Amino acid sequence: MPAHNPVPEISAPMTAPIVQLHDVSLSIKGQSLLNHINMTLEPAQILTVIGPNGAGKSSLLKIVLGLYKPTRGKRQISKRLRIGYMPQRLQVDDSLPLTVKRFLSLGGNKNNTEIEKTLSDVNASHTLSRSIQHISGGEFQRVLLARALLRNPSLLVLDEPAQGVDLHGQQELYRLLADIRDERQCAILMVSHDLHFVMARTDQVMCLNQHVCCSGTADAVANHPEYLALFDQGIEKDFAVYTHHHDHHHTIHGDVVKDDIEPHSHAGHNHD
Amino acid sequence: MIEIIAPALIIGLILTAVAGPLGSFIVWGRMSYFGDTLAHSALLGVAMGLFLSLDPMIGVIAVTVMVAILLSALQKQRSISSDALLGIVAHGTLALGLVLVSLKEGIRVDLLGLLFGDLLAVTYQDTLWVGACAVIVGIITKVIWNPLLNILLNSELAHAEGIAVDRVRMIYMICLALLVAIGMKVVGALLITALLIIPPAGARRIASTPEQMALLASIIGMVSIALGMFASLQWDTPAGPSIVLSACLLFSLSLLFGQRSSSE
Amino acid sequence: MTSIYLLFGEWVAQGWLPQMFAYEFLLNALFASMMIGPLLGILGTLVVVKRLAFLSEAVGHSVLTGVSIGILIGEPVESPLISLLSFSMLFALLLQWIKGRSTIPYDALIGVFLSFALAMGAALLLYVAKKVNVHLIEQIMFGSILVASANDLIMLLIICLTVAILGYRYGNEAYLVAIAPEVARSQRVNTRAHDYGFVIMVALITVASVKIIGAVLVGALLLVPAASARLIANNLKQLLILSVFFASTAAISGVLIPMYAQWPLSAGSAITLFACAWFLLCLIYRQLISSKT
Repeated sequence: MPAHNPVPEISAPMTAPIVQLHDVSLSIKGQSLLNHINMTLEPAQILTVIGPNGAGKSSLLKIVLGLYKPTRGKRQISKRLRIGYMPQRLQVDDSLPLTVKRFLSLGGNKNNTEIEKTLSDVNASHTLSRSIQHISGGEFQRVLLARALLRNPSLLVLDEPAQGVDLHGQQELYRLLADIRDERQCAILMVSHDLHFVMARTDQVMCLNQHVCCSGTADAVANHPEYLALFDQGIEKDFAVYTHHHDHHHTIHGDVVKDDIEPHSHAGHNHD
Repeated sequence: MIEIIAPALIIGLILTAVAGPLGSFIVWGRMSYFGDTLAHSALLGVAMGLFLSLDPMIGVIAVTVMVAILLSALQKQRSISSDALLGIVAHGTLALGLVLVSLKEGIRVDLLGLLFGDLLAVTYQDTLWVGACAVIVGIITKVIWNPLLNILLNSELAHAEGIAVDRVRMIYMICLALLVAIGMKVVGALLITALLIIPPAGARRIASTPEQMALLASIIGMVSIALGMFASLQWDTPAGPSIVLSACLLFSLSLLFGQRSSSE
Repeated sequence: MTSIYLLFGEWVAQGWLPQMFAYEFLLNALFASMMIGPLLGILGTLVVVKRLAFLSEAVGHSVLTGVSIGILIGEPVESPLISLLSFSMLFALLLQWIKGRSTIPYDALIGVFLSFALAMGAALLLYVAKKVNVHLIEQIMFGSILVASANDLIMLLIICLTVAILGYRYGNEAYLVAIAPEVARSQRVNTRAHDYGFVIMVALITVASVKIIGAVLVGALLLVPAASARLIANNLKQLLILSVFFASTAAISGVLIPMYAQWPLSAGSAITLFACAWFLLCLIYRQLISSKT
């Protein structure tokens, strides 16, 4: 007996990538910030960008956002792309009386129900009527995320969203982002401050140091017993370990030098 | 009596009504020095107007708008701190304006009137075009209100959310320049900043939304006009300074009032 | 002093110097400017480094009020010293004190104070001017070479010496506080005392210079020469020397040249414009340098 009627599957339509960078380079005032970057982001895909300080990660985001124009190369985005952006920091002057609710509605979406729902999605409902200068750093992060979400984005761009947050907080954040991706089917482009730990559910990882040093997928923490020891139980669901595989190194002066020694695993040590 | 003060009162009230929201942005955006610089350059505008035998008002508007655009363009460069830049432009334009004014023989210029306002000498005609200007500025301010707030919070976020940051900023600067030009009549070039920043500073303690603060600033401004003019008529003090002193008074009252500590 | 006047008179008679040097008031103004220039040039470097241009301007405006109060209470018009010094001092200290205790942004606070001082000063002066002298206000605001007296020179000299001594003893610390306050604090430097001291110095020097340059424009000579120097200086020492040089030449030229060319300019305006001219030159120089690299 046939196990089941073969129900014709409605295959997902062939969707184009929502963001593509073709051989993008960026230099500002003679300083080269990015070189020959190729990047493709598919719908509902999570891409984490990691790299040392000064690698150009924020610049990359700005190119994706359209804030910077590439000096060379092309940036392609899909039509009607709605972007939600969560900046790394945002300072509100004491002289500006602003509640969280007003701050959120300033983003363009004035629907009260949606505002309240989104705020509860990010676990910050209690901040609704509070003055924005008087909420904690972590709460502020979540409010920023809520604002990005209120735009109903098909792409969420997050600049080091977990910076300054402890491991537990990071875990919560990554869980939240995973839920968001699942519910809203939006892509997520995230810059992470950590060189090795990335979100477990990230589809792609890109290691950036002015150019793409390496890229690939992340590895389950379970496969790295030395990291497992660092964590509480159960955390391995939310984190993954990314193993770098570089075929070159960067000198102090910023030059890229190809390694002509045989390739070896670079797990556990940095390339500065 | 009414005939004398009516146009002055109307212009004063219109000015402060519009100055409330615009000035609030100056306080929020820490642009007090910028406003002061624009005001100083207004004097140069008058001087140039006189030199070219134009209506000084045209000179003022032209120069303040140009200085506003120049300053906002120069804000991006790094070799001179904005602090120093503003100071140089402020003093330079003022000095140049003074020099031109003193060189221009033949035309008696009421320097003090330009510096401290000549409110009681305004005519109904002035009221008309000031009113028109103010209405335009008011409408524009309403339109760019939310975008401006967003730019203030984080210009990159605003840009990412689709706001034409540079253009909106430019529009705001031009509105400010227009306001400075109008304000010269009321309180003079040296005191127009006062009308822009003192009322919002006073409103801060009592307001809980940006809009409230702007509205309150307008109200405080209008009360200052009324008080100042009253004082001026009653005790024969110069109108411009009296208005500013009234505003200062209201500001100090507000300090006693809403005792908001920063750890609420 | 009289011997100096006589000496200059001699030189004029001999044809070595133009006629104008025979006038006492001009010599006074000249000597004053020779002291004001370096004073403002030195203090200006701190102003520029600390980014307190707006503050200095506010203090300058406060002089207006100080003068008018002085006149009102009957001090001699030419030197209402007591009220001048005390009001400006109070003003500066009050501003500094409130700075730490308010949610209102510092720059707005300065703006409020500045406006208050100006309005108060103007109101009082306009009131007083009807009784005294209409041109008085312009002179106080924009300076005049006519009013410097020998007494002013003595006061300036005292201030110069004070600044010299303080500068020698505390100069390095002052710059450290200006550039890196946390480092200074960790080295047990009393940054608060320095902040207050700085503000007091600005008040003092402003008061001393106000006769020549005027209350409204004194900030210009504090700021512009130092800003010009900053464009082309490569280290602190160069910054100081250049700033003093620009300030002094601007001050002296602003006093002498309009007199010589018989331009009806107030001293303050002329001095400011010369200072701005230096600024433009430095700007051009810097552009040329950077376009070569």
